[in-house]
Amino acid sequence: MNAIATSDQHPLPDPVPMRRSRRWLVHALAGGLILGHAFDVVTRGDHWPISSYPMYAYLNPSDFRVMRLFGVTDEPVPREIPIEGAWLRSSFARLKRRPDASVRLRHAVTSFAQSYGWDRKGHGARFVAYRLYEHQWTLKPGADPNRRPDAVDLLFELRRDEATTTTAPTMTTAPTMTTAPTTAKTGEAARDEAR
Amino acid sequence: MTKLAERWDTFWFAPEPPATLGFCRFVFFTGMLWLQYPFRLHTWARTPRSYRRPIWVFEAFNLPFLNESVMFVMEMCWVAAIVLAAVGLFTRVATAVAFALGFYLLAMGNNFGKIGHGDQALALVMLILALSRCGDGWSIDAWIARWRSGAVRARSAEYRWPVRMVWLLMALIFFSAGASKLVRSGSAWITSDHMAMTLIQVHHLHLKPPTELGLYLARYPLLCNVMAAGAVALELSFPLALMFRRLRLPIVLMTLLMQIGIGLLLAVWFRQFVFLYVFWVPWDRVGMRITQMGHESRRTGKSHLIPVDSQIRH
Repeated sequence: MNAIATSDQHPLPDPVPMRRSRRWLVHALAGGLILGHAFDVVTRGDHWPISSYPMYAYLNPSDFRVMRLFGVTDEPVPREIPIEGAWLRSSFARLKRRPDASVRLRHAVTSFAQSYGWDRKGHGARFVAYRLYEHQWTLKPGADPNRRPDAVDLLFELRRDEATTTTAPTMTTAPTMTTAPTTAKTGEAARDEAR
Repeated sequence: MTKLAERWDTFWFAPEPPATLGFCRFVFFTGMLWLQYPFRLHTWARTPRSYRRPIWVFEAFNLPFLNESVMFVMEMCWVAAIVLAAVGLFTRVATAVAFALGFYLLAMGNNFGKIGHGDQALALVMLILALSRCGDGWSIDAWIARWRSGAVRARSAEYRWPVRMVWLLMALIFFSAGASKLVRSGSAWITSDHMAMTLIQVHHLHLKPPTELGLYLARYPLLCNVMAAGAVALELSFPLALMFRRLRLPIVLMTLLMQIGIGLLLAVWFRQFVFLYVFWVPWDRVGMRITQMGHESRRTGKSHLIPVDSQIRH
């Protein structure tokens, strides 16, 4: 049962001793890793590549909200194709908490469209619009996991024809946002990043 | 105090043959190729400027956001360095280049509002290997050296400390993860319905877990509390695996199983860690045992398994 184990107790003498400087390098590296991680845990920091590893460390409320971006296809019956990415979700969630959220979110979706265009590989259709939603579920044990969100807010829609005529399109849908204005990293912001 | 210092010294510097470190290097860099395929890190350069939220290392060292073509060239050079590091050709240079380029490329994706927690361990292991003599075993370099001089590499502390440093890194990662839960949420992380909510929540995301077991478990609050307590206890106890030899196998194995469980329940697969667990296996002894078994079976004419506990200890 000791396949994962090496002996610490009866080492053979080292036929090629390590130089003192190399030994100090090892001590310094070990010390740096220990102190770096301890610092991040105590200060709740994240200093890549050192971290406090706060995955799922914040309590999840039963009220679950997630920002999602969709591309709308140009088919006879348009489909909404989700564009997924943890960085996108946490970026939108962060922007939504800012006092100028509507402007920021509009700019974020517009710049996304400018960078990635209107064709998405694998979907077989071009997009005619991007839509940014906030979905909300009240989480309950035993509820159907495939059920539709309890609330759906269309925060912003960027239509392709608008985007090609102007780089700063106006909103076609008024945002239904109730923001908690702050630019500082709140507990909520940290939680989004920690997910 | 002297005894403690002795233990510390032995932990890091007891001489070992180069095989374990060399084999871990081979598996780790081969794994890096698999993890990074199809090599799309350069596409982070397309991410709009408005999403940028530079991590401290980019700000502190004023690292630039390079354009896509430059990043593509960097990534291809990185892949070449990883291949060389895996096979062990020009290993010292290859591992150093793999770390330098990999550090930038792996860090890049963390500058857009979401800091990932898998790749940073890879960057640190690349640093450890770049500082080590990991090319002295299981490498073309070692084969060439043996062919030229006929000499076999002696046991050395140089082949032990890098493996132990990866152990320390893993212990710090899991301990930090456990401590963060208590620092940020206190005992409520265990006693509240947090675990149940987490198990349900992931089923409303695009990437759903491969099983609905989490939804079933979420119906039993007490069971969820026990799972949460077990996860925190295991994470906090990981450093004991460094100190107590007898605890190594159960702790490391249970942590691996916990991560498989996280994948099944939450669809979060820490694939990077697979190539860190490799460092816990004494490959030189595994190799010896396989060789021994081969000799035995040839001698007796039948397969003969050697009891694990009777293995030779060095």
